[in-house]
Amino acid sequence: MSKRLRDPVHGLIVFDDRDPLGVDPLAWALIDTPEFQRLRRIRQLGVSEFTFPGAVHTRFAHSIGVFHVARTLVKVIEREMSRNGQPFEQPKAKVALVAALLHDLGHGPFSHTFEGVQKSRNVKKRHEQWTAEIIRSPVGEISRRLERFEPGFTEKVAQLLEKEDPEDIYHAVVSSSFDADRLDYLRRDRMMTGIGAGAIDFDWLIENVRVADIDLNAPDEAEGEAPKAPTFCLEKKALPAAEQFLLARYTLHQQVYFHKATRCVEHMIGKLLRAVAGRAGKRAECRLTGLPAQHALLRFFGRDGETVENYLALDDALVTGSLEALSKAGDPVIADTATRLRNRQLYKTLDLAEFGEDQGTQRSRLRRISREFEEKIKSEGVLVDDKASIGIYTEIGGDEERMHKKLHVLDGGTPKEISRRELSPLIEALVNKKQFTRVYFMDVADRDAARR
Amino acid sequence: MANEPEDRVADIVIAAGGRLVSRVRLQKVAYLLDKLGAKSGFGFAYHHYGPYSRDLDNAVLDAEAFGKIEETYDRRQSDGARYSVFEAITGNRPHKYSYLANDRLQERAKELSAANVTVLELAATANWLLEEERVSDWKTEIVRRKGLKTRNGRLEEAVQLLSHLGLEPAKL
Repeated sequence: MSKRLRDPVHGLIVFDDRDPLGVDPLAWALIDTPEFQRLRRIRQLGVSEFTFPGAVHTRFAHSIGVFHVARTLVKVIEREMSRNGQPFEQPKAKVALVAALLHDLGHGPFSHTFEGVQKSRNVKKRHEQWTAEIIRSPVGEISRRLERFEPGFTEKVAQLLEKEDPEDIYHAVVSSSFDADRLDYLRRDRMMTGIGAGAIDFDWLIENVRVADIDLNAPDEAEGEAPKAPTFCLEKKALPAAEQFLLARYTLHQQVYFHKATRCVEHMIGKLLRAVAGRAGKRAECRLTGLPAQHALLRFFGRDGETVENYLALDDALVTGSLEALSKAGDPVIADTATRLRNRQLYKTLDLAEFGEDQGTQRSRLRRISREFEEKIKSEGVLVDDKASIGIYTEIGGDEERMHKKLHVLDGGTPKEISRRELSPLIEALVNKKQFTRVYFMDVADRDAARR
Repeated sequence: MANEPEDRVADIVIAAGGRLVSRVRLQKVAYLLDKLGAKSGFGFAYHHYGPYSRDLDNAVLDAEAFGKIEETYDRRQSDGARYSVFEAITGNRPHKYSYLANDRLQERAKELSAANVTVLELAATANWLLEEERVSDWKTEIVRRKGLKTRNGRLEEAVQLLSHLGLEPAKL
């Protein structure tokens, strides 16, 4: 008996018992594991619902959507392999499909916010590494089901997700300019936030996807023998749709992900979790958090607590459900921040764009504010947010995008990066990074003083 | 002596010969210089091209905003992919180094700035895996993460570079 799900973005998603690859029944079994069910309790957009009340969709719904899109991309690969006279490799396609479904298992509560907290505690582990670890966990349900499907399958899935650069076209399903993740979240986030801009012409894009080899090296003036790997490129007739596709991502960053109120809440949650982590590290101080002794946050942040089991106990719901207890903490920072978050009493924002778009002016202002409020910045009574920047390819972290994540259009049969002026002056204009710098003040008087 | 973030960026570009190509290269040079004893104060985290510092990225913004460097762009012939070219703005005045006052570090900055960008990426990543993530089997891990980039002798070149710098993986 096939299983069916209704999805607001993709409509009916069917898991067919008679799937010739055998992946659909496996996917359904994986969805049923505690590790995957945890994703119901992690929102795709973290705290964006403080700003966009409809944005309460979860990584659970997103991951299933990614699996659905991955099936479409696998069909594209089959089509293009046939066009290029190359074999379609079913075993690799199966690995890519399952990797697409499981790609977000390692997100922590509030995703990137939690990762930022860990980074500030000098913890090097990223969510991608947690994902691989959760998949490989010998005591978990995921690897049990993967091994039952095919011995050795666990390792293949984990390794595909760990690869940073492609070696074959199947990797492009989980990581490329046109990967299943992006093709789902662009549409889902737009729909659930309710923003009008940022639609993409999905069917036309899919129809015009081709497979071609690109250079993997970071762009540089020295040309040389560069490793090449196949990725998804677009036919030139899909150029307008390709531009819209990139603009959709840009728009979401501009309007949703970098919304100043959302970023403010993220910083406040970061402050709260750092304060809890600080107390959790000292057994005698745990009670000052207001949390019961065996609370999952205390277990995780406690000595030697960063295990897969403890990590899997953390999610958005756990943190938001703990705000009441945290608001009664003996630690005044924890109590105050939790109370504010519970009642949406946000810090007051100073957006440096108020002083004009000129970067020189903004950087000078920031320097002045940083000096004037040095002590309060240290004690987190003032939170500086100067790590959000956006270009057509920039990641939230700000690093340059890898070559296979840049969009290539076939120009005279050769893949060319789309931002070349000859191809798209529109995209070229958006390559430079634009910085969003905000400062959040606990005390409105401080904000007003900084504004002067 | 001024030692603001923008001064540290200017130090690297000037030590490189007044011109340094690509943001990825700038990041890896700054990371490796820190490993050689320079104290940039920039925090690094692991990103797609290995160790990456958002602080340094912001310092580049400062350096541009405060007239210490200029950033222009060029494109790779083969596929048109864009890269940055940083040039120091000294106004014919001798540069007073801030955090790279040491001659040896200046020399290293020049050498590293001339290295192949993928070799730098691999060298910085290998160092990161060993020193920061404490991955004992760093070779397997770097091949797992970087795949094709480690082939054609690139990984060996990266190890050679680290050895030349006195940061050879075997000793770490």
